[in-house]
Amino acid sequence: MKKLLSTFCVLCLMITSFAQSINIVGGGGSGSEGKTVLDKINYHITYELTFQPSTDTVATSNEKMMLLVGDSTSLFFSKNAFVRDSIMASFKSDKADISQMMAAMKSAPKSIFSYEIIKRSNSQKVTYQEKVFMDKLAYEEDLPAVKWNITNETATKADYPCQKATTTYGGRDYEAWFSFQIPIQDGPYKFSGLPGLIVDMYDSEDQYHFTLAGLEKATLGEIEVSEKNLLNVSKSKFTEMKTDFTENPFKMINASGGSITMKSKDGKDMSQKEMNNLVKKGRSKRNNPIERE
Amino acid sequence: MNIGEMKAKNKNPRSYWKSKQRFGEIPSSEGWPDEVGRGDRRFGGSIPKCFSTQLKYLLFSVFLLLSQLTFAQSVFKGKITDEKGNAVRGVNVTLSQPNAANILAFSITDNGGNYKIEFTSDADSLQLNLYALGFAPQKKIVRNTSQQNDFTVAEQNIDLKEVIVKPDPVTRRGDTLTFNVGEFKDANDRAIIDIIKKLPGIEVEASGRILYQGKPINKYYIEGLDLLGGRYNLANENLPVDAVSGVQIVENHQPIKMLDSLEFSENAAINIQLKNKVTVTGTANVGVGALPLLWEANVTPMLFTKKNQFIGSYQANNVGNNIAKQTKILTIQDIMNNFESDDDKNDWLRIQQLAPPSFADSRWLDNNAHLASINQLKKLKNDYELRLNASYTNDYQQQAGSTTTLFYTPLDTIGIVENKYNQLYFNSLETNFSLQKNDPKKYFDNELKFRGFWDGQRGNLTRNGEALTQELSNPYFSISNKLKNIFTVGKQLLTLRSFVSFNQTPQSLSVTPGQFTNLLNAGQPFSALNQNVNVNTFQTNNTVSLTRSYKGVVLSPTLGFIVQRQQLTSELTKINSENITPIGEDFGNDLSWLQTSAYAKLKSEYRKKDWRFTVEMPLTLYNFSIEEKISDEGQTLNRLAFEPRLSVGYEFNAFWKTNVSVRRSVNLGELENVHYGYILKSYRTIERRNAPLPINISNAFSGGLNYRNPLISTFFNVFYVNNVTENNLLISNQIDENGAIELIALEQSNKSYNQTISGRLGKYFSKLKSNASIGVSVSQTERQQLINDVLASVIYQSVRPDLKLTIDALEWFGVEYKYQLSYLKNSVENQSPQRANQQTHQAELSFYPTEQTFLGIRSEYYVNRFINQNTENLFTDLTFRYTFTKSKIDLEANWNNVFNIKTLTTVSASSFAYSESTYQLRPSQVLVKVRFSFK
Repeated sequence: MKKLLSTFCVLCLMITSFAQSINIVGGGGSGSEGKTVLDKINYHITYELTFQPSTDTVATSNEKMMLLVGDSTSLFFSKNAFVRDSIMASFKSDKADISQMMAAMKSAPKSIFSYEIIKRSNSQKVTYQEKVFMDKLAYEEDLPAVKWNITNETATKADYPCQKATTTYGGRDYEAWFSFQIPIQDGPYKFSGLPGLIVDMYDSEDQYHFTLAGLEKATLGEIEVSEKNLLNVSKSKFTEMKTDFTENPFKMINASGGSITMKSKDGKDMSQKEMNNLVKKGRSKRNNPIERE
Repeated sequence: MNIGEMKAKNKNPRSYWKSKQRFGEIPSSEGWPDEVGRGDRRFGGSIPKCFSTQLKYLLFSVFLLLSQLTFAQSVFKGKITDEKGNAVRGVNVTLSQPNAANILAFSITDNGGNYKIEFTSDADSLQLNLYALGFAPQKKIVRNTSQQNDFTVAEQNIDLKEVIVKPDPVTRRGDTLTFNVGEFKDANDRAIIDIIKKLPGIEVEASGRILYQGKPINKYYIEGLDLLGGRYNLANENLPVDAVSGVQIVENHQPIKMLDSLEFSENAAINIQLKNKVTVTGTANVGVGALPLLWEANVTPMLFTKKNQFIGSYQANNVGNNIAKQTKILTIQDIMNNFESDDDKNDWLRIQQLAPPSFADSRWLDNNAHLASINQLKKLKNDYELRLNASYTNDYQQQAGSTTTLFYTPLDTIGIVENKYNQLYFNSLETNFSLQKNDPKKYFDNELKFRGFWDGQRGNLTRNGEALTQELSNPYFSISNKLKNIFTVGKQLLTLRSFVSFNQTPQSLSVTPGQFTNLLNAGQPFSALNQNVNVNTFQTNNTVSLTRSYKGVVLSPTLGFIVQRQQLTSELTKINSENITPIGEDFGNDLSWLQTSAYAKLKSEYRKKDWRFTVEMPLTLYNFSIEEKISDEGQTLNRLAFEPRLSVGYEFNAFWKTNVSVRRSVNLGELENVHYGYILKSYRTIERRNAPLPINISNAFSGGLNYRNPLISTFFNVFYVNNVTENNLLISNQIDENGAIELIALEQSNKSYNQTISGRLGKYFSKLKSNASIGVSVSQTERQQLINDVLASVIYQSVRPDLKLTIDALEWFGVEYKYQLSYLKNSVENQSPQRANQQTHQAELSFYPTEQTFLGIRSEYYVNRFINQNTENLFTDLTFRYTFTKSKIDLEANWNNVFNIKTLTTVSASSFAYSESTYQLRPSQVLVKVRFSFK
């Protein structure tokens, strides 16, 4: 037993020395790893998005969407996705206490919108970024993405006087209420280019409805996007890849060298056709994207 | 604009809108007579501020009407600069009625500060308004003619009226996603597994293991209680869908509440919510088939109340369905907890087995199995939970077939043919008592387990025409206790784990007639040989561990010690005309083994940008003391083993990734590797290990390169492993003309080399909804063997190319095809190499002629070019399923082995032996099944 105890002491000492040598290596961790700073943030704008995920039921869901406005760039994304990302970022930074970060991660909210939309008014381009399966894809469109028709209708929304404009995009007709008193030519999703911020916007079937829920001046902060391993594609290629993944997830996984097997009731392996049919049956839950064409 | 155009607009105002490309022009109010009203209805409470009076509105309409009749277009343009003369971008320049706010047309200044508004009206004067963030607003009344107006704007902070975000109402709790079963249920669903399979993010593996986001779940709860302790197939496959109201997936579930906010869990848990507070439910499933008479039954009653849960099950079949799976532990948590607690059944003696084919059990397993299982959970005072899981399995399996084995010795090749008929009897009882307390302040889990196996095997065999019987009694008994306790020292949480077990292996093998006559009976034949072995083992493993992170480096140190005490006694006796005589000192063992080891493990991980480093440095101090009483021999060994592992990963870009790792590992032997007297392991293997404890030191290098381009749906990977092992012992194999092997360990250092390279290339064809991939794996093993006193190097090589194809272009039909070629080559120094190859074609066709009907055809075609024979076999199975949607009854017919193929030959090879096994399969059979659930 005495021998055993002395062994323990030796081992404990060794652990301490290992720990020291590793700490020196780990000195240079960085929190904003792989992120590119695009602009400083002037305004934090929040929209409440009420949407109908499926055409099969009229049930709606809510999510808070953020629009960060800088001098010449803006970024639009889901707040929940952002909270998750920032927890991840702080987790990677060197001062992080891992267990606390993990706990925060655990309580972090979920989002179904994993896209980021970057509008650059300097170059008059809008970039759409989204993770599909394992890959972060991006495509570009001209800005503004839509042509507006201004009506003479007015109303007060969120305490701001507003005027209505209409447009058509992605197979939906939209009505947008903007306020000239907020000289930010931006809005939710890819929409921008009105002489004032869009305060309220909905499609003709009210399946996607953005309402201004917050407008706050920012004193610090930067608009950052992760451009690491970003794949630039055309919009049609993006749509094709996304459709492939939602319609044939098993094949996409197979095409990446992975594999999944499912088992039927009596223990036999299912064929891929059977698996796909199961997925198709259980799908219809999110068949109503904002862009229909 | 002319009148004709205006008329067209009135006819079809919407299309006019769309076609009109000009920016910011306002349509006339007649075009949209109901538009204002509509807007007002929608936002009934809001009053337009910009219009103070109805009169203004009327005037405005008249003005617009007039404007369209006069066709006058004015172009307003200009440049906006700040006080330093720099162009100002992004200024809103709007056109309105004088002193009105309503925007008629607008422009936003470009990078050069320029604006341009085209507007058509007959108003005398209009107002230009300038708004921009950071500048004072300006307005100017201008005449309605084309003109240039440049402005200089003065910097001024505009304070926008802030809108403060209201906090989110709590709509759902943290990590829990709840799925309403009704939403996912369709007519085909019977057991809860059918629903779980469909939930987003869920996959169910062939073993029944559930993965969420690709990771195995760590708990399976029913109404928040862990009744089955990981054996969740029992509930998953038998709990009827109709009893369940919801399935919850708890993401990042930390099963230990004390660690809830401290230790992150990547795994999710599943919780089944029931419809009623007291639920009595279950399933019954009966199947009958021919020929011979086939049967399958399953009755699984269940009871769930708030403080008490129960699942019982009786299952039986003779159709080749392996029911042992139902009580297998599947949760990762429970398996991980059996840390280094090598307490599973270990058979010292064996009858000569027949290698089963590698395809589905139902084709070859000739069984007669019964399983009874009781699972009960009771909630006690102070949040303690008491759980009992008990199961009894009885199975009788038969195997028939033959094996041809070739031994390549440096001098010649020895071939033996064995015809085998094996009867295997399994009788096992497993009980598990566990007491758990799991609250945020205390975690305590103690599990007491008893396992008893009363197994026996009988083998009838003819070797090269000579008849032999083998009788094996291979029971095993084990009692073990596992404790996990989490406590705090200062601010740090420490985890203590302790495992104690005692087990006994009293086994015996008798072989008739006697074997190894030269060694055992001076070359004279004798009637029988009997080997007894008894091993008693006491072992304990105790650890303390914690996890810390410091400056981006995660450290997880663990300290622990092992004590293992084993007692081996064995005796080999020969029976000759009813005389039972022990063979002698060399053929008996009475050995005490004591291992005391202390270890420290440190794992650290560090990531930076595209790099990932993992360093592991386990250090173990081993102490062995072995004493043999019969021959008065023994040995002690003290050794400090350092087994570092370094792994580096790098991502070049989105497409290319690489990972390289090097590791050194030290393997020290076990009791089985040291016994000074001979032990008859099987009728033709006798083994003696009177040598030092084996020490194998292996150095391995592995590297992989990965390419995956999602844009063209193509991937490619290649992986290489090189392993060099240094052994202190060389095994001498003495093979006689009957294939009987005498194994003796000799102290002589030697090296073995292993290299494997494998690669795969695949592509998905989006338009055809088809997948294709090809792969190849090449491996080579080279080692030293002492065969019949000749030292020879043996090289074993294999090449395995394969092809996979899946086509799913049609809604009602799909095809899957796989092809594999295995090419094996075995060469012993100074001997001509031996070659064999096997080709496998697998095709699977699925038809869905109607919604309720499914027809599946599965075919496998084997083409074997073996050393001794060439064979070709075609297997086909048919499945037909019809679902009565209303009554929820499934009718399924399976016709297995349509062409009634009797046997299948498979080949296996080791470094100096090559064997071909012919296995007798289940005959062509039809099974019709009805499945329903009761409430």
